[in-house]
Amino acid sequence: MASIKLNSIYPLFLLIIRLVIAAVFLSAALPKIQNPEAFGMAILNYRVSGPILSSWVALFLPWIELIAGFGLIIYPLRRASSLTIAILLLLFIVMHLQAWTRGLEIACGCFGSETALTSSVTNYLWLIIRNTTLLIGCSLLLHKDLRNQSKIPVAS
Amino acid sequence: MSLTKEFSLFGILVLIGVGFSLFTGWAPPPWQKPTLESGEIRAIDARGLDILWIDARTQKAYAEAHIPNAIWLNTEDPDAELMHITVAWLENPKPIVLYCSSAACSSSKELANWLRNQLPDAEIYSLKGGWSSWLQLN
Repeated sequence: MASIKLNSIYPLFLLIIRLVIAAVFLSAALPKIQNPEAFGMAILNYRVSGPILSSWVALFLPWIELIAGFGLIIYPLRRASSLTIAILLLLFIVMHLQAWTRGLEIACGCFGSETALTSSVTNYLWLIIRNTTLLIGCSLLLHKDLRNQSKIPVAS
Repeated sequence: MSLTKEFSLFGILVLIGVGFSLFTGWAPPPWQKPTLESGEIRAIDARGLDILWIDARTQKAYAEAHIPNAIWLNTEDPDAELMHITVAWLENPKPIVLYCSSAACSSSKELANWLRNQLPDAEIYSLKGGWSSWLQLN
């Protein structure tokens, strides 16, 4: 009985996760697309890349986030999107960990518009917990999407 | 659709997006020299923010007028003022912005680099356009 209930709730649970992660990535991408210079400065503040690499990342990353956010809820791009989001979240966790370890008092830059000067200093623990939670959710989606794909019969 | 095809489609959409950003001028081309160089801040962005200002002009220019609460830094002997700046920053940690007289001077940039070495934990900028740009806004 409990198993039947769980089976009926689980797809709904995955749908909610899918929508939440898509919303997070879409809302993170749009301000960065509108103001890539501010986002470039935020990347530079992490002190792992020079100004040229930061500019390239500030140009490409918001579009990757936007397409991945949309792709997560659109069938033909689901697997590529969930895989991309998982890699991005892992990258963000590593970036926050290194900044935390080095004691950098900088703004996250997660939602683009904030800069180190206009927002409070990043709470790294909260960011790492948030991204890890999203990563776990994304792993569940990836597992489901890859499993569903393998079940599709191949025409001979 | 195979995963490779999915990623190909994904990549094409990203490239279209990047092309759109460049075409509309939302994003400056990364291969061009940026209007705002690394470590610089515009007066319009700095105005109204809580900043520790450091005046890197002459003492005479500082005495005539300066940004409120700015600390004067003797550019010929910056080490002498380091303790004063360090104490001010430690008492109230906030971004530090150095300025010289105009866009033509480079002392604020050089001193910002020097100060970054002295205070590696501080967030330090030089004011683009210097004192002249501040005057234009106020």
